[in-house]
Amino acid sequence: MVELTKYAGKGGCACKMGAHILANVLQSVTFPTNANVLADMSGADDAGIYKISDDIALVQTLDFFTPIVDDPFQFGVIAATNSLSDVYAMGGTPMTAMNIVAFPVPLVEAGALTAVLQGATSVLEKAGVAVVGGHTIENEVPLFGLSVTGHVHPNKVWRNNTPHIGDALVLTKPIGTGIMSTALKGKLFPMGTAEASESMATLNKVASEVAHNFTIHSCTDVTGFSLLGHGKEMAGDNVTLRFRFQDIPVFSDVYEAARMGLVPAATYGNRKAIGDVYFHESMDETQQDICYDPQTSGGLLLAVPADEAKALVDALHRAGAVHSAVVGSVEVRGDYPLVVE
Amino acid sequence: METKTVDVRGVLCPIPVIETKKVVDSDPQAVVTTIVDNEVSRDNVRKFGESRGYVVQIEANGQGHYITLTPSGVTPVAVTVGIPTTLGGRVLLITKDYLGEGSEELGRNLMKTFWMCLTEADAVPDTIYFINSAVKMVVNDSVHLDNLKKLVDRGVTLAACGICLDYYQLKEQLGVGSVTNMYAITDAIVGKDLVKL
Repeated sequence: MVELTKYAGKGGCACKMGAHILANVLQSVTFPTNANVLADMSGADDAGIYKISDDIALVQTLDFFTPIVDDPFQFGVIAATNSLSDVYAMGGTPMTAMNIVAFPVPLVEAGALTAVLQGATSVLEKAGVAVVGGHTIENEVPLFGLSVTGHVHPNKVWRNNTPHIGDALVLTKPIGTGIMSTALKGKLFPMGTAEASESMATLNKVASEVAHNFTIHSCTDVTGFSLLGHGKEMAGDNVTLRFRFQDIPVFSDVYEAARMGLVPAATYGNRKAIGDVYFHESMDETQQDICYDPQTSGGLLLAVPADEAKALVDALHRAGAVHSAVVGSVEVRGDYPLVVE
Repeated sequence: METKTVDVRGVLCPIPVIETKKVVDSDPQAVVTTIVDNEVSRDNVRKFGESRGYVVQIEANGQGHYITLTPSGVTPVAVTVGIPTTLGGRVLLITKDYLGEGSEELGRNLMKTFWMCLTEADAVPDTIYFINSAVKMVVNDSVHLDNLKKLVDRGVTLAACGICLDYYQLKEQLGVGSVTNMYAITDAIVGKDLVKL
């Protein structure tokens, strides 16, 4: 049995490069654009949006990473789910995908890549997405992901930094995948790690479809930069997001695992990069770490008018996103962009 | 009072916590000092100690962070750093299964003698990496296995290049140490006190 995480350069910890490192690079390069671009990386949006006509715009995104689980099929499932997530987070519908593959030849010969692609395919079938190509190189550390193209109505794009004051914040999946992936490396907390694996393999498709029946002011998917990192992007410069920690869904065992130090390196990176967070004095270090936990294939964070929030959560529960919860609110900008109490 | 040492320099999270946990679980009353080489591992081991109710002391020198966990109720003793049982940060990179250039037959005998001498040396490296044909020495039917296991018992971390094991089709026969990759090896050797053989 191939154990994929043994090949992961970062020892199984989240491999996304820290935003604070990347920021210096992005400041030094000016990327070309044109008038049809409705969203690009300048707005910290989850995907690029390109307007084709008044009725249709392309949604484009790509995502890839090193193995976070040992089972190749499961890795394919999670990578594909994660790659599609950005399209759903923009309010779009994914149409086509291309595989991005870097793999060591011995692992390919051992059948691992076949299983990865089968895993990804199982997800793409559920999402109704066609695979139209890919590119493969030899590499010592395995990498897998997808480039995904979808469509969205140009006037119905969900931006990630346009919440309204008074909105409620709804989160559609529990958090803690980073901590649980770390626990998995130590073969600890089987219950929580199983819950996290299942959650990482769950598409945001259903949550997105349900949310389309409500007034969504802003949406993002919670991934490597953690609930607070993506929350900070949503807060932008104009509002404050207030989270209630007790209302944030987490996997079983997450608190205990974080308390005993099964905290991925990227958590510390997120804490450093995000900065301005006001934690209520009752919150201990472990609770704070959970808020900074890097997510893989995390849920959607939706800003919705407060009077629609309960109905949205009820509808999400009925559709199968059973952990969905109102986790906070959008307020007039205070001293901090983010408050957790 | 007995102090146990867990030297996990050169490995990444969550191994430092897991290795510390093993020692603590086997003897909860022992004083345990874990040595790590990065702040993330330092903080994670501290969290582990606090979660188990130990008094946690942290010291650092050029060779690492020393986190000492003392059972509550036991008076914490001064942490002594700087006298590690290993050569502090020294990494051995073994690139083939014989020693030196010239006769390979001679080189293989020299290698055997080398491992034997190292097991008896006063100071040992803290990590030994095996790449290319050197990985043949860490498999089950290797003549070096006994000596290498003795090094592990002395706290030396042995890590073999996974791609190399795959190349020689030896992955299933790994007899001692762990599998690593070039990223980890590169991380571990750059800026370290490295000896290549």
